[in-house]
Amino acid sequence: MPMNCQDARLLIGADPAAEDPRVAEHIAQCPDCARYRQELRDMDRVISAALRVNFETAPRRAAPVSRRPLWAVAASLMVVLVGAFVWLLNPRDSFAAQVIEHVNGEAFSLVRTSQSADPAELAEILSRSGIRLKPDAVLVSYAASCQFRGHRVPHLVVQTERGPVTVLVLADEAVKSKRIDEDGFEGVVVPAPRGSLVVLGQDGDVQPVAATVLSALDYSSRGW
Amino acid sequence: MTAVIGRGGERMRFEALCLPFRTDLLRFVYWLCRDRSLAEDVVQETLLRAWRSFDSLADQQAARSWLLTIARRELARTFERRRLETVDIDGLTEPAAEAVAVNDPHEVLEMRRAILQLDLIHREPLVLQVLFGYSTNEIAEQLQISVPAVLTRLFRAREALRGRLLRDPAGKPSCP
Repeated sequence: MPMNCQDARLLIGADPAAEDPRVAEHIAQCPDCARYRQELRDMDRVISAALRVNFETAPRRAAPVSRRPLWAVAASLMVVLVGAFVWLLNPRDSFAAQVIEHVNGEAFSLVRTSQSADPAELAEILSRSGIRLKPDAVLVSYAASCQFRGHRVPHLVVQTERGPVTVLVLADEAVKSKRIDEDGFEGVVVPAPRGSLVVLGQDGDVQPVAATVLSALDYSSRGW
Repeated sequence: MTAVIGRGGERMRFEALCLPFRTDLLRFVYWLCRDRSLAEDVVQETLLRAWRSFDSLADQQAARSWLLTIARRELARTFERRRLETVDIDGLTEPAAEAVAVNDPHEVLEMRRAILQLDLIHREPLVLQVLFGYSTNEIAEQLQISVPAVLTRLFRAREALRGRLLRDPAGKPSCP
């Protein structure tokens, strides 16, 4: 599957100096991304110079003495109070926020690809939760064991026709079924044979994906 | 007497192996805490701790990485111990940037200010990659996070810097 601009820029932005053949293939046909890479390589030279602080010649900073004026403190307090009031009027679903924060923290896993995660690693991660993936049921491109709400949970990315979809397998926690529609993400929390399953995508209804993943997971393999 | 001589030799070995990394340690801690005085204190304590546990350094080739790990823990301990006051970022970064800027071109100073304003979770992997040449796998190991998380943080760090510094950045991807 050819790499698109978004995926190419994710890789370039993470390490502009790297010579990834997939990126090279892409930028050979995309002048915009070629310019983007050159721009970041130039920027990295400035970052490098900026980080090499010369402490031997730099003067010591005098201790800061300035204090914020009283009006600034009062204004800050007012901002906090208004913020709290607004939050009380529009309480955000904290579970959904936690899911989205976690997924955003590993946004690099959300790339379109036809490559599967390492089968042995995937099996090992699922087996820690007493779960097995039925052969050839879904294409899992990413698998990690993540800390989430106090438990180690399998974090998978499943490739679908509408792009990558994140799956968190909460085998040790039953969460009330709900829909998630926040920050550009659409998802569902559905009951599983043990605990719950969280399925989160960015391009339309993921309920069918949740059903497919649920039928692909075998929860009967817990042997300990 | 033999023991004293032996320890003296070990001290010379420690100094030869670890002291050349003092500047690296200072830079690393400074970019984490953004305070030169605190960085110097933490590095001093780091070297003392490293000396006390010098026996535990199995691979001399890994001395720098070992020292950075100790420094990182020492900084965390210092923050915990001092329960440092919350400070106004705008008030902190400007003088901090000036304090370490001597005879540097304007764009380097601007970049330094921009880096100081990055969140720590984005600043630290960037420092490890650009300043110390760590691979993403090594950064993941050092920070105890996954490789995709490292890649994401690095991407976001550069996007934030680019957004702050480039007046006419390349637009969003236009091809599919």
